[in-house]
Amino acid sequence: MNTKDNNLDALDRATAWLERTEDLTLDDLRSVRHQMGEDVETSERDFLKFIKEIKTVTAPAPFALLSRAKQLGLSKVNLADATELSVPLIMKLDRRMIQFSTIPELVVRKVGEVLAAPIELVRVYLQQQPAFATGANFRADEAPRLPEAQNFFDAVSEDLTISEARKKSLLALKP
Amino acid sequence: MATVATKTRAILDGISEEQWTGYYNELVVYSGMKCRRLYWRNGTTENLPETHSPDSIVREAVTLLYAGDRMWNHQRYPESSPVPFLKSVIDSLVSGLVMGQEHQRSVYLVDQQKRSTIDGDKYDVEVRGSEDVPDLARPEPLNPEKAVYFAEVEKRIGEAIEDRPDLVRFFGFIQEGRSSSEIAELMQVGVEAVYQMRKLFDARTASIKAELLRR
Repeated sequence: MNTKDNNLDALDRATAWLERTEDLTLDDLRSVRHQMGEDVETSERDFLKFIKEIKTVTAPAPFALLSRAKQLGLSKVNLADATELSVPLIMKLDRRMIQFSTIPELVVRKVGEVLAAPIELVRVYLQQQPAFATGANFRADEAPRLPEAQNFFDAVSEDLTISEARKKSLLALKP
Repeated sequence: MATVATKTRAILDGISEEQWTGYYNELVVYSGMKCRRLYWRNGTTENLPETHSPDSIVREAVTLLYAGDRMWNHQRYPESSPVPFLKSVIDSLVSGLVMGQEHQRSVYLVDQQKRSTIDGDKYDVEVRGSEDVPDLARPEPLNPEKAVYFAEVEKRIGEAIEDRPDLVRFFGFIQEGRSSSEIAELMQVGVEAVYQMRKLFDARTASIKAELLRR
């Protein structure tokens, strides 16, 4: 509501002021949230926990799956086992080579749990631009191009390293 | 993920739990009102994916800030509180959701910045613009029934404050999107007086607000 827009319609003229929160005290805000039917106390506790986690996870270095795993003393194999994925899948996820919209929520949650990181942070990470592999070296006239990000289930299907049981349970998550 | 600017990190590290509690409530109310207005305008929340709520939008905005995915432009948002900047991130997230482009990240490009790959290579990336984002999408004009209802609401607000010319002016300014300091200047009063007007305005319009929140 920062625009000095003279072309407002009836809805804007009657309701835009509701978004104006900067003049409200904490009690006022809590009262509005109660009116909105929210569980203020629980959500405040949850949010403070979330802030604590995100501060911890992002403080030492920018968040990345493998670097976070390393901080926790987990190798790629450990991480793959704990998340019930495979090393190639973990590597692809770390480089954002999997289309985020195809990754099952359960997998994102599991990765967050294992890395002791807020799921929101994992989601944001997995939606970033794909990255080249560590140590990749290019000698060419043209700038190197990354392949298209892959569908999660295609990546699982073509993974030759994953056990059949694990593959089956991951493919069962396909909507 | 990008490295968060030192100044941003210092500010974030200095925010106490008590301050975060206040910021969180303000941001959830802001996000909730934005979503409600979307609902009133479109008559449906189907454009807002089910996994999203005012709370989740706030968390996503905070995550983007901590992750360095949205850079806090301290020149544009010079306050020591991250709330004004986070509101702009919320605006862009809600706009992206409303436009049906889930997790649309870049609304306008405002800058280019060197980033590092996980192996340390440098490359140019967009710094995601979170300013100047469009307000809620308006695919079509309000239907006549809604236009009548909201015109009636505006009229009732006017009636609730009509005996106080200062509140009438105050309401006019907030409809224009003026900040408290702008209103103070325009009305030639202190900012504290503006807060008092807001309190009185809220008290006078409490039943209207409650009615809107029930819709």
